[in-house]
Amino acid sequence: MNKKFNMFIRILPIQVLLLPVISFHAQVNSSGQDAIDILLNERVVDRPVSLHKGQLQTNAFYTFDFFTKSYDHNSSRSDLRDQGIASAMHGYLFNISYGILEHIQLTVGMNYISTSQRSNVKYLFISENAIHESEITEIKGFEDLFIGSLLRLPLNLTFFDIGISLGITLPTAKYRSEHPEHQIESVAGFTNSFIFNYHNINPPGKGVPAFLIGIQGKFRTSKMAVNLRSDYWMSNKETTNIYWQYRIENNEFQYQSNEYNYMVDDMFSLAIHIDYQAFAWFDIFGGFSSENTFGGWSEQYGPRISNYEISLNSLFIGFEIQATPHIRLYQKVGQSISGKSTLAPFSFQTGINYNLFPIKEF
Amino acid sequence: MKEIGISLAIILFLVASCQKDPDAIDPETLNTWTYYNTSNGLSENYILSLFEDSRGNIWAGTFSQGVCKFDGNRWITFDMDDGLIDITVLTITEDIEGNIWFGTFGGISIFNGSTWLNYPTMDGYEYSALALHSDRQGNVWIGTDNMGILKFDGQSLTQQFDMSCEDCNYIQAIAETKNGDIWFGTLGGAVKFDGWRYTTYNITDGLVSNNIKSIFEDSWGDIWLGTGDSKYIIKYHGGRFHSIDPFNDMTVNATFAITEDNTGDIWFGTIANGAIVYNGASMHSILETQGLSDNSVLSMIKDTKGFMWLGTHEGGINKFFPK
Repeated sequence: MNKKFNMFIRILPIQVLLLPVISFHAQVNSSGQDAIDILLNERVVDRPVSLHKGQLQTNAFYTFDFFTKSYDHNSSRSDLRDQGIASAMHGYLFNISYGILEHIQLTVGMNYISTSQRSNVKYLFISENAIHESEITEIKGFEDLFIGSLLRLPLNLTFFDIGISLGITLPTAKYRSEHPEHQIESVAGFTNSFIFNYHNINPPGKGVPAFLIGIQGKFRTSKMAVNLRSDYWMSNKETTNIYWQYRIENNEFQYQSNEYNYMVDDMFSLAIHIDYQAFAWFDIFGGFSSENTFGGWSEQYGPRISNYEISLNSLFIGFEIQATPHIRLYQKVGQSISGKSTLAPFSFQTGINYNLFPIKEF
Repeated sequence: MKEIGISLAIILFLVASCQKDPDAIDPETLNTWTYYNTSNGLSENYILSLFEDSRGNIWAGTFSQGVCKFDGNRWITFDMDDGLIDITVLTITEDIEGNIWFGTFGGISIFNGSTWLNYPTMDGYEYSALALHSDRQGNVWIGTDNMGILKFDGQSLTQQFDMSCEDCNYIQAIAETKNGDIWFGTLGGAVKFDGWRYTTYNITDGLVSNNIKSIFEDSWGDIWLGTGDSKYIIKYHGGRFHSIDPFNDMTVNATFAITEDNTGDIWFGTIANGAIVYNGASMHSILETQGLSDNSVLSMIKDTKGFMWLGTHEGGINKFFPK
């Protein structure tokens, strides 16, 4: 009895939060409930590119990117483990989508990322001192808030579906470089040996709004579907950030900041993935994705200098399981195959999405 | 449906093709060294002085072939046939009226773009102009080999001669600080003029050498001094001189030039040891193995675009964008 009571107390907040949903759900009549069950259990290959009217979908994903390779400006690949600078990134992606009409879906999302990328490991000898330099750039925090819509064209074709994405990220996240936390450490047992740890902290926000226009299409058969998606993110408003200079005085780092203008890159992405519906509850997929960023510039070093164009091409495979009518589980792994001016991740993504029709009336 | 797809594809392509700023510099062009030497327009590869004028021209003073002007496209040489007073151009500056001053072993030449005025003597005495500096008040300071410091305010010339220190009248370098002080590098130490009086600092004040070959104030307000005869670089910070030995396995015999790049790093041009770059915490050297054409860097400037120009003993000029 006591154990049951404790359990009740633990899930009470969840019950309170879900109460409106549960009550709406309970009001749906039995034929409506059948239709909802059909839609909730809809196979991956049969789903339209947008949510159904009244469908509420909550997505929560965890991504883990492991950076052991990088591509330079000439697309040559190098091994970061050999240089001792491999790194990882954790991402927590969260969004809620809702089908306000059968052909219009709204989405609100925000991601949290955390990564520490090591670079510039050097050994130096200055005067009588031996110095080991190491630089870490930490990118940590919430990204900008995304608000978007997906407009599905009313083609009424069973084998083909197409939709247009429009969206914006609002500059809600921190974006200005924070005060560095460089440190000097003495090496125990060695009088003239020091470690300089350069620790840069860059929040992940863009600082300006960015606009999305995209298109996605889906060709389907009874067992398979081919999905195409292309997005273009653009931003044409320049803003300012801070560049931190440092200097060691009396064995302590001192800093001074300089402001500079910059323009964020545009991004063009293209993805194609093929679904195979092995069972009604199990879908396996694989595909190719490509991302290209370009057009941005920075005045951090004085004159206005274009950013290096970045490209990354990857292959991925994954699956989705319909665990319950409401819950779908999702896993994907990806491997970069070519790129330019970027880290080359091996990525792993796992996620869950929860679906319901809280206020749909049939 | 097909038309919709084609239209969207065209729109996406057009949007993706838009350049936000076509005038922004391509970063690929910044990663390479640009070399200027006798094969592409310089009159000589022995570069003693570099200067950027207010019009964006780069002037390069040579050891024995006059001075070369680079307008962004090509080099033009001016020598004694054109009106220059001497073939060896040690130092260059620009006055408030846009005239270019050249300091040589044979005195000073002033060029207004079409005609040359030469000053081989001062008060009847021959002299060499080893250092020139045009300050924010519009004065031109002249460092000489035997007449001490001369100041030209646009109308008259005044002289500062130290009777108690003969070497202090051999002026090799002049620099102005943000607070308006003028510093002079001499064979007898460093001299500071604060607007009222001259103060001399020498080895008794903590300098590692009295032979001060170059002076520069960085964006932090520290004053760096390069010597003509030691391996040390000197930093004046907090009212004290600090001697820094850049590399314990390397002997820097002289530091001829000092400047700061756009990232805040301090560059030192040395004899035989290339350019030494100080990032605020540590130093590294740029040598021929890193792309420098010659390991003796005698002159150095940062131009208004952020490019570093390094004049060398035998390798002409190296241009590089640090980032």
